[in-house]
Amino acid sequence: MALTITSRGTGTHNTGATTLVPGGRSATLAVGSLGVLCIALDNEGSAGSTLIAPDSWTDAKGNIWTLRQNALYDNGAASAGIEMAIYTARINVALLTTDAGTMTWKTGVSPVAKAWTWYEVIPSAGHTPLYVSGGTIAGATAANAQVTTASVPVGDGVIAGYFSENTAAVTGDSDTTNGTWAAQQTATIGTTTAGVRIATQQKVQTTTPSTQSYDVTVTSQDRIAGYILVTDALNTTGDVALTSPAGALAATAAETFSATAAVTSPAGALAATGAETFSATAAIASPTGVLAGTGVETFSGTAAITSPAGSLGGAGATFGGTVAITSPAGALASTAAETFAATVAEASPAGSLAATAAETFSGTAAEASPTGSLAATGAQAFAATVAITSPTGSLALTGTYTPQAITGSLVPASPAGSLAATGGLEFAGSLAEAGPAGAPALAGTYTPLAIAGDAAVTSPPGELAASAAEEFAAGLAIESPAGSLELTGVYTPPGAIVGAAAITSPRGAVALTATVTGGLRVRRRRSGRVILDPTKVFAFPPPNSPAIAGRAALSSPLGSLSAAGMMNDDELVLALLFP
Amino acid sequence: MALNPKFGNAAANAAADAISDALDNGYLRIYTGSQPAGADTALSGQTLLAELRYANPASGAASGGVVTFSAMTADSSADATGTAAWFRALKSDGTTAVFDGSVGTSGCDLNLNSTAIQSGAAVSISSHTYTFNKG
Repeated sequence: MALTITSRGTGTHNTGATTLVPGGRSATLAVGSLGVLCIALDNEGSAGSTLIAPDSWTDAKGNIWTLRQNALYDNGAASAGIEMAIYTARINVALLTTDAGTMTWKTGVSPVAKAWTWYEVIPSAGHTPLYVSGGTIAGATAANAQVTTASVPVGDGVIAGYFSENTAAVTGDSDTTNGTWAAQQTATIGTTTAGVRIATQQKVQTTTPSTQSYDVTVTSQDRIAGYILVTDALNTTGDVALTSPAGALAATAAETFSATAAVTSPAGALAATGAETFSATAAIASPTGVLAGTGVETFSGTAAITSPAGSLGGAGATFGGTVAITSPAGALASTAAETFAATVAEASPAGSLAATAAETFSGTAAEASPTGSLAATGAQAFAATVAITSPTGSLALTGTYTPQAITGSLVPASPAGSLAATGGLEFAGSLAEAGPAGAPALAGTYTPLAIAGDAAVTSPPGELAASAAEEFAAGLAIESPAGSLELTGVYTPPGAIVGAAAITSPRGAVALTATVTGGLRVRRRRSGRVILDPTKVFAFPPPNSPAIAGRAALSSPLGSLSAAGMMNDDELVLALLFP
Repeated sequence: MALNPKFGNAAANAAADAISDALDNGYLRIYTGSQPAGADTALSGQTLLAELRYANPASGAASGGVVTFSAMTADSSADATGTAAWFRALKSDGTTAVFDGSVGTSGCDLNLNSTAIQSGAAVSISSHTYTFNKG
């Protein structure tokens, strides 16, 4: 089904005026069609060489007529020559034969003779008629005229016209190549060179695409010619049936949430593999699947990432606000560098919690693994209060903690397992390391600046060994109630131990191989009763000098301080006195 | 155990209504080229072919998790000639994306009688629904 082009009448006007109300339509131009106006007018432009047809004009129904082709021929003589113009308009409101519309010539000139023809391009059903292209030939003072168009697709149409400054009759084209030229519409007004003529024809392409040749026969005169091609384009229509995804919800690109966001995948895995940025409250929940955040996530507001029954992995996240990462029943792994600028809680109640990369906590941070192992093998820096707790598993701190690292309190506790601190620890605040059911070992180096407050190292039922050189700036209490106690380090004055020191071993051998500057007070108690002279000061000669050197120091004049001399309920108290 | 969540009508209607509310007096734009990875992903060279408008309000209340949109204002003159491939629904500000969808002649979120849109031709949508998957 192709478009049709219907002739809709002609009109003329022969009075000089700056405007024109073109009439003469023989029928209404219907809504949805394309109106075409072809017009010939005297060449009245400035010096005869200026186009005066307006770029557009609006008819009485508001349809806008757009200038598609416009050319003139100026033969050089005063007020001589011809101008042609072709307009098209989509007819949005039906244009009746009585409806007017005013064209206003450019530059304010008042051409006298005007003649025009009307066409209506009617589309096939479900199509919209459109102007495609066009062209003109060079004007001349000559007989006849020929216009060759661009290639015309089958079903499209061509409207061609001859425009002259003369009233001579024009014989139209009648070729039938790929379509037949319709009957000519022609109109003329005025006389000879004071008049104009227009002759136009239309053809709809058939059979095969080709160019079209519009040929007219007429005596020699000032004339010009041109054409337009029209088509009807298929109107597009459709239906939208959109359904929210079922199953996996995958966010693989970079998502940015600028407001409250909830991303939920109730029935599948939720994977956030790109860089997600949450600037406000965000909740990512995967109630029954695996939730993995493997990209670099940045949370500047409150964020909650929860995977109640699966594993939750945050491999490179930056949290600027309150963040809670919880994996109640699975493993929680933070393997990349994470930065927490505010309150952070990472909890893995029933699984292992591993922080293997460098993590920086500038706010309150709690890493807890109640029933699993908690391993912090990287360098952690804590600027505030930090609590690392592993109630029923092993807790290992193998990294390096710099002086700036922990400026608040640190409590590494391992109630039921072994507690090992093998790195160099430096604490600016209080330190309490407790291993009630295991062997606590302090194998690192503790510099003078390391512990500025009180320190207590306690191992109730095991062996406590301090094999390195410890230096304490305050009081020291080393207690081994039920085992052997050895002090093999070196205690150097004057700053090492400046307060009271008590080394207590209720039963067993006491070996003091260290060098102590100052005096040694030894007390032996049985059932609360002092056996030895409580006031006796063993001032090994010379006093106030490195007098006690190793076990020999305990082979004192009393001689009863050896292990053989101790009873099971005896308590031996050694008090080291310093200058 | 297999994953098997189910949503009730109240929750599904709330979700569908929220989508519809976001589209009050909003836009539905049809583009050429590849559909972006997400609705918040900026355009990257795709050509706008047509723009339709949602009504205000865009629809009545959802039922059973399904919202049926009111008649949309067609584009009487397509912006460009090209092959329609995907669409984006936006809020009335013309910039905030609500959702994207595929465009084709069958089996897509938006099914047209032809994906070959020609500049100047009319583009319309005769029906539009959104269904929240209740599982």
